[in-house]
Amino acid sequence: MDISGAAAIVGVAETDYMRGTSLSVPELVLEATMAAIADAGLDPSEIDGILPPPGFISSEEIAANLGADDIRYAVTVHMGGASPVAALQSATMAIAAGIATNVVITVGWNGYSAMRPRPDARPTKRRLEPGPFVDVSRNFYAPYGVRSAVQWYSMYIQRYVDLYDVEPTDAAQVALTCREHAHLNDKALMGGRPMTMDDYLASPLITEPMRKFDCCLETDCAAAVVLTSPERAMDLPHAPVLWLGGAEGHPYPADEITNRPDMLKLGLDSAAPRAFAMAGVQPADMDFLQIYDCFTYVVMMELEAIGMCPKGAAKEFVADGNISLSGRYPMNTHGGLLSQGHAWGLNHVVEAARQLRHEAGDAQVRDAELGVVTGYGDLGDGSIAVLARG
Amino acid sequence: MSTAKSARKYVPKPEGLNLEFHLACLEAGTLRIQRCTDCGQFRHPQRWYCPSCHSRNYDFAPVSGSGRIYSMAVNHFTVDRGWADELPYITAVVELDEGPRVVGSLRDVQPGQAGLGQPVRVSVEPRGEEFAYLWVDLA
Ligand SMILES: [Zn+2]
Repeated sequence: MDISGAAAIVGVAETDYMRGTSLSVPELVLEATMAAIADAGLDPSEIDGILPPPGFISSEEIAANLGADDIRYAVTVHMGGASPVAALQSATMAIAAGIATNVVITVGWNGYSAMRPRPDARPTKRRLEPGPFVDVSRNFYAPYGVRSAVQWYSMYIQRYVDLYDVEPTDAAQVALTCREHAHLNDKALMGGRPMTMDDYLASPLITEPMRKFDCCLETDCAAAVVLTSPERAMDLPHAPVLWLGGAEGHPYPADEITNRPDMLKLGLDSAAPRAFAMAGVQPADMDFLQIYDCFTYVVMMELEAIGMCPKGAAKEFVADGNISLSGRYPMNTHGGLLSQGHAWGLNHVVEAARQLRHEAGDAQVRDAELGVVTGYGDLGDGSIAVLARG
Repeated sequence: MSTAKSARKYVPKPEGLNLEFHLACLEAGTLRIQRCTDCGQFRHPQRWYCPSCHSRNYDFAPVSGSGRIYSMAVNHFTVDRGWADELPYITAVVELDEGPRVVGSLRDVQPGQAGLGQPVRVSVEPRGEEFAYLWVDLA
């Protein structure tokens, strides 16, 4: 069964990106979900497939708010930040197989407020579910003071920078480019707040080699996208954005970093060739790249994993404006997790769809026809989607 | 070192196979690693089946404790209050001479003084009755 092109993104939405809000996560998720369905030109009750975030709100609860009384497909993808892009594959499978017709993917969280609740905030039991690797991380890493993503990933990024002589000024290109693009996006948290190389180099070390400005933004927000069949999409208001190919991949073992035979092999290394083969296009054909940017160095490893450049060559790939809006491969044209906000990379899917609809405003990549979105999460899981203007 | 006021460090409460590992290390006073008694392959963290031959038979075999720094987390910031007084601190990934890799605390070493590939020794220290803390020292 060939599922290339079997589904299209027809509706997208995101809430504001906030650092502190009185809205609960379920409210944010529902706001984005309702807005994405409206953007698709559908009635909420027409939704029959839901892929909710891992935690905070269930597909059942979402359906009850939508008046969606005939849900045929509901599944949660547990791949951390790789979940939303992997969910595109899952939704396409459901649509291609005739299981569901109108599928919504949504995520939201309180990435800022969870650690900094407002004085007037009411306590809540709703939270993010722990990742599938929690048993390993709490027994083998946390006892040694390693209990956050930047610390886990540093275990392979240390080897990456050591092997390929990657300098902070190389990773800085990713941070500075995302910041430049944020200035073009009304919703970006860091829009209008310039960052120079000196600013970057002056930012404090967190876990070597990562500095503060190598790290994404803790954000309160939600986003949602709606998919349907390409036939149905023809009757809807926006130019359809076709899912040409995609894949997920998992490093081995996925639940433990340090005993991987090759610690530098990410899930995306195995996923990307499958996705491009399915889509029938090459990495070099891409008009833009929306790369999951939890950390700058991870972006560099992902660019190599998806075949934009050979191993160790990302430092050249990101240099000289190649990934800026005026370059050959504009990357994270919305500002990314680094400078727009952190919606688990579903904001990358939203931006990719806007680019392919030619609705990206000042950040529009001229004549964009083809783009790639990646996801990355947990301890190196990867996901990828090749999208095309329909 | 920690002051009396500072938060305590987190000590897990191991269960199942993971508890067996810790008890084996504590009883021996040195590092033990799970090993398949059918094909002889070491495995870490603990797994019920040998991923090579799929045997369920295993023991916790002695290892030399010597190895090299395979990677490390050099921490200048922490969300863990139990570790705040230790900054900066280095968490080492050690590749043992026998093959498996373990995570432990590299002590008495400042950032920049240790690099990948450097020879080290891993030792165990009891933390309560059921957790064997792993220390890493430059060899
Ligand atoms: Zn075996």
